[in-house]
Amino acid sequence: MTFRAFHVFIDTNVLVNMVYAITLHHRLNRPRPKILDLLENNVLEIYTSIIMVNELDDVALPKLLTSVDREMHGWVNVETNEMEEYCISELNSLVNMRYVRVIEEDGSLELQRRALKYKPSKRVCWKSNIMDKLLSRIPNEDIDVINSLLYAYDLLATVRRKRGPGTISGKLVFVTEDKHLRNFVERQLTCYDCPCTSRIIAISYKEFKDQLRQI
Amino acid sequence: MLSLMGSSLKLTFGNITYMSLIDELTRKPAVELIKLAIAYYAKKYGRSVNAAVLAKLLFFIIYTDGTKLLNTPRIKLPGEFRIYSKGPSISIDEVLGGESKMIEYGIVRTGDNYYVKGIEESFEESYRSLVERGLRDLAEQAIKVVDEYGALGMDDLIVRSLEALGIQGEVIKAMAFNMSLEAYMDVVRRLRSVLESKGSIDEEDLYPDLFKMIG
Repeated sequence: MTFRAFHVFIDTNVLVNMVYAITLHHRLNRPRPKILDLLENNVLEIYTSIIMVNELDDVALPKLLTSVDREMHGWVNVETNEMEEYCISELNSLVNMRYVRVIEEDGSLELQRRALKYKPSKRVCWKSNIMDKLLSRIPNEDIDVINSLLYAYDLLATVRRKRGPGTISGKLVFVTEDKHLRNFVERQLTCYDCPCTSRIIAISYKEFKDQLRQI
Repeated sequence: MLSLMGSSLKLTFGNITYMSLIDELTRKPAVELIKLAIAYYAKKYGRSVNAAVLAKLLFFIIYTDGTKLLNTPRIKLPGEFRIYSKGPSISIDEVLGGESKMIEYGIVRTGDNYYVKGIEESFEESYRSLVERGLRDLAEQAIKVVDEYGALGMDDLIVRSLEALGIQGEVIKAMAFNMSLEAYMDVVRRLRSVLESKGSIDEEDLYPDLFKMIG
């Protein structure tokens, strides 16, 4: 697979904000967010994991909707559960339009997924001895997130060479607003003598947008 | 009878095949260009040229004015440049059409290096062939690039090719990893117009209470 747009992998806390901002535009006539232009013009492909999507449904979205200033965001007359439905349906349509791609399901990654499934040794990281050490250090709720992040790395940031053995590997941008997770990715995921060292770059949403403006 | 300028192959409308036309219009000029670059490199530096170096030289010849990206490439190649961590890259073998073709063109590959049989004649023949195809500027650009960049080491070539692409820093490089070069050029154009568009507002400015670090 070759990418036709810029690509990043995003955390639940970023996905939920993005979906919320787009929903407010589509349903409540709030200003059009730039991210929607970036997606509709195929400048950007957003990748995320089923883990993030589930977390959004179960925790992140209800939490966001009950904590925001509804008056300031212009939906004081809308019930919270109605708003929740709007957001979920917006997320579904973003996935259907393939603006948001779920790494475990997206069709374009099928070949890569199959290759990893039948030849797990192709994975860059996830070497059991290193990962055992790492996983013991992270909070339980983050284990799935780290797991999906490493899986995303292998799917998105490695390419098998057409000729000759081995893979060409790059780096993966992980956009997250979670300070602890970011620290973990930056400091702990750089396990000594492991090929995964510094392969995942964690940045905040603002930093990510700043980077786009620099191109 | 259609005689393509200077070409040894004469195409008759009656028995012309689509593939041979494609071959004539894209493969042959690409082969002549590569041959010219290899021959001129050997003439100037007295050695064969490494595949990775040759790929970078081709990038500068076809896609830049020497330092900056052109709006459209000078010719269309029968193959695609991709962007990896070490800058734009293309399989020279694929462009040439495989080993048996190489023998036909008098191009020799030993290990990772390319050479031509009869340097002086190859240089003159391929130069003439490009001029006859109306590609004198391309031939001149090839000579200029080999003069300017041929002596540089791989690290310098990588840095300069990324500079030409406008890729500064690890984050952008990661977002563009494994993109086709032409898709990248289109995406950058679309990104500029999205960023300049007054029709949308950055979501982090619309909802500063949401897009911020947590924890």
